[in-house]
Amino acid sequence: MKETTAEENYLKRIEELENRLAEAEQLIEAIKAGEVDAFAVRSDNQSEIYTLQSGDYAYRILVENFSEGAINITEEGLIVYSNKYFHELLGLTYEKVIGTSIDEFIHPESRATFHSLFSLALDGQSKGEIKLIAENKVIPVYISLTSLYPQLPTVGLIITDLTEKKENEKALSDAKNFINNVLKSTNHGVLSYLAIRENNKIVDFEIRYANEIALEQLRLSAQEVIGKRYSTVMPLAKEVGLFDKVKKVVETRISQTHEIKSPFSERWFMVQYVPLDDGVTCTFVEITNQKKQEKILEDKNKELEHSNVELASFSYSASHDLQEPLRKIRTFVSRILLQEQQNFSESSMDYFSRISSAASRMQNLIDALLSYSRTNTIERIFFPTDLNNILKDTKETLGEMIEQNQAVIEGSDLPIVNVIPLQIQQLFTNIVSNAIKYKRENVNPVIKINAERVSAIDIQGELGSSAEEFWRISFADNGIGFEPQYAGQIFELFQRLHGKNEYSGTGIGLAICKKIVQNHHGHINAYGKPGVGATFNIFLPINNYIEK
Amino acid sequence: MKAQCILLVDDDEDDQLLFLDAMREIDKSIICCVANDGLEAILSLHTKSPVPDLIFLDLNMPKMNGYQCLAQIKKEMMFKEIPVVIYTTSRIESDRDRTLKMGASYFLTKPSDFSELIEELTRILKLELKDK
Amino acid sequence: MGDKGKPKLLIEGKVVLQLYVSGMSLKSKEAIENIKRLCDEHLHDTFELEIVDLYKNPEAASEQQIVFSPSLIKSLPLPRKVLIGTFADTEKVIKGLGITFKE
Repeated sequence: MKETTAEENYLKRIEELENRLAEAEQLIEAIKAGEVDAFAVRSDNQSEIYTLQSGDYAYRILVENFSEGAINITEEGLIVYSNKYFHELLGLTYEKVIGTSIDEFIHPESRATFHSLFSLALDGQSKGEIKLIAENKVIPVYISLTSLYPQLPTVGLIITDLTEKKENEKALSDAKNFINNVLKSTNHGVLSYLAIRENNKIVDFEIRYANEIALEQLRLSAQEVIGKRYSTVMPLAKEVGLFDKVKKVVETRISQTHEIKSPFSERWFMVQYVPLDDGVTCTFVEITNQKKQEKILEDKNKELEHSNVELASFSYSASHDLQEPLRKIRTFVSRILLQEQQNFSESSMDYFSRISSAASRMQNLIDALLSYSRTNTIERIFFPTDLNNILKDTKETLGEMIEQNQAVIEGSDLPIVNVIPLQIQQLFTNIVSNAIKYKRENVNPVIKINAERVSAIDIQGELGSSAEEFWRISFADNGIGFEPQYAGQIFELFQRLHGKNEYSGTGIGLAICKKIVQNHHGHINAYGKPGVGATFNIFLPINNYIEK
Repeated sequence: MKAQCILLVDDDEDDQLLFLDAMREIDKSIICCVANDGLEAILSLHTKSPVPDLIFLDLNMPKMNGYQCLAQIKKEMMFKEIPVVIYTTSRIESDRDRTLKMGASYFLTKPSDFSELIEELTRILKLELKDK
Repeated sequence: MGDKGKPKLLIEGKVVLQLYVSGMSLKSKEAIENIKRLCDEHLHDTFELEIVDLYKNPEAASEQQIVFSPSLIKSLPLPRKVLIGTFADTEKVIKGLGITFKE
């Protein structure tokens, strides 16, 4: 209707004005309250933004203080702004940097790169790696350039220090080189497997790496192996159970080592698996030679065993057959003596008697020789043995001799030692019987047996053992003793210090003792004082894990 | 009283001589027969009459050794009651154990002294020869 | 009374808002937080909010001669309203925008 009255128009106008006024009031309130940061003004189709201090405070603080370098440089390369980080990175004061040409800090090697990056940046942005130099220090950096034109006819740069990164890279590169060198120079094959899983179960492995030796053994090239699947490259492995072994190592995280013979040849390898990530590092080395040596040693040992057994039985039958004629000689002679007592002259009787004695001595000799040979051919099984029991048995064996000579044998608190029981028994018997045999006239033999721990250093003479401690068992008697110069001789075969008319004996007994002691990797010696007595010492190594 | 008879089975001439000599010293009335090996001994047992009252058996003999002979003797009804004394040079315990197990009554190792031989034989005769 | 004690707004159609800020400043941050809270709590689904950074987009000052930051402009529903500040007082803002509550 045309009659929108002037009043209505006025009212409308007033409302409009009221609104605009309210807005303007609100604006003024806000400005007064400092609630405004900035405003944008449009004029001549151009927009200009005016910023109050509060508007850009944050930016300034950020750039000035963050841990990257930030600078502005002019087209000519003049540094017109530098934040704290940049000049500190160069090791210079702010004053030395501001107003200086950036070229002064660019390393000669990087000049060309920098200039091309700068040119690119003038049109927009660019990024790249260069080297800075300051006070003879080279600083590798990554720079990001942005043109700030037209508002600010400069290029802004963000500089990231790469020193640590470079150092890390070098360390990594060095480590890689070292590892590669090791892998190249080792005589071990090295492979790395990564588990391939389906439904979280291991179904195969990927071969991540194989060194030259490994490739040689597989007779495949790197391309045929690296990145390929285990089941493809080593199809036989599943059949011989190798795949399962590798799987187990990954699952249990426990390393495994085993020996295996190549299915293609007579070569042996020692293989080791060590878990790594979700996979395994496998190293192997050929041990064919060691295996050969082992076999040879085994065979030789078997031969030796066999030989020993043969020798033992030969020795026995030989000694038995040697004894026979002697027995007959003695028996016939004794027959003659019995029968012809009255008819023979005294000297004839005497001669026959000597024949008998000679035969008897030979019998003893043969027995002793058999005993001596036995010390090597009989079983050499060591057993923890109570020496007190051995001594008891010795006293029993020599019972008659002990009684006849009124001998006293004292020994107690003897230890339990790891020995060949039968041989030690023989040893004790030999030494004790010797001690009784070589008693002083009209003096009852007294033999004292003692045991003491001694350290290897205190023992003079050759020790067949690397043990650090030994048991010294000493047999001290009050017999006739012997001259010190014979101390070594008495242990030699067939050596006797006295004529056979004075003392019976084969001259083998102590040689047997020495042999026995050697079998035990120990030592024997003797000290004598003529007219006073003799002491025999035997040294037996202590195996700490067996004896107390 | 019937004369007692002993059979010696031994291939060694010297041992035969010594044995017979010793027996003569002990008791001249005892008749001693000799077989040179196990085979002869078995033949002798079968053919001669009467059977011996005691057998001395060596172990190491040709053709048939003491073990085989002993086994044979103990098999036959006619002879197995005859006491057998093993008379040998062996000193090995296993020989003793085995022969005693097989039924031997005694194990005597041949001594080196004549008087000792006489002593041992006397003792054995007392033990094994019963007065018939 | 409505649920949770908040009065329901009486609105016809969507509220279309533009919030002008100036980059990395404290006031811009506050303005954004406050307006977002206001929208989520009171306008629910009935609003469209556009946040404009003057530094990134100076041409925003095309419609009007001058645009302040921070400022909130309600384009719809009419009448158009402009508010300047950080908008801490929600009630004042709603009143200033001319949005009424249902009793």
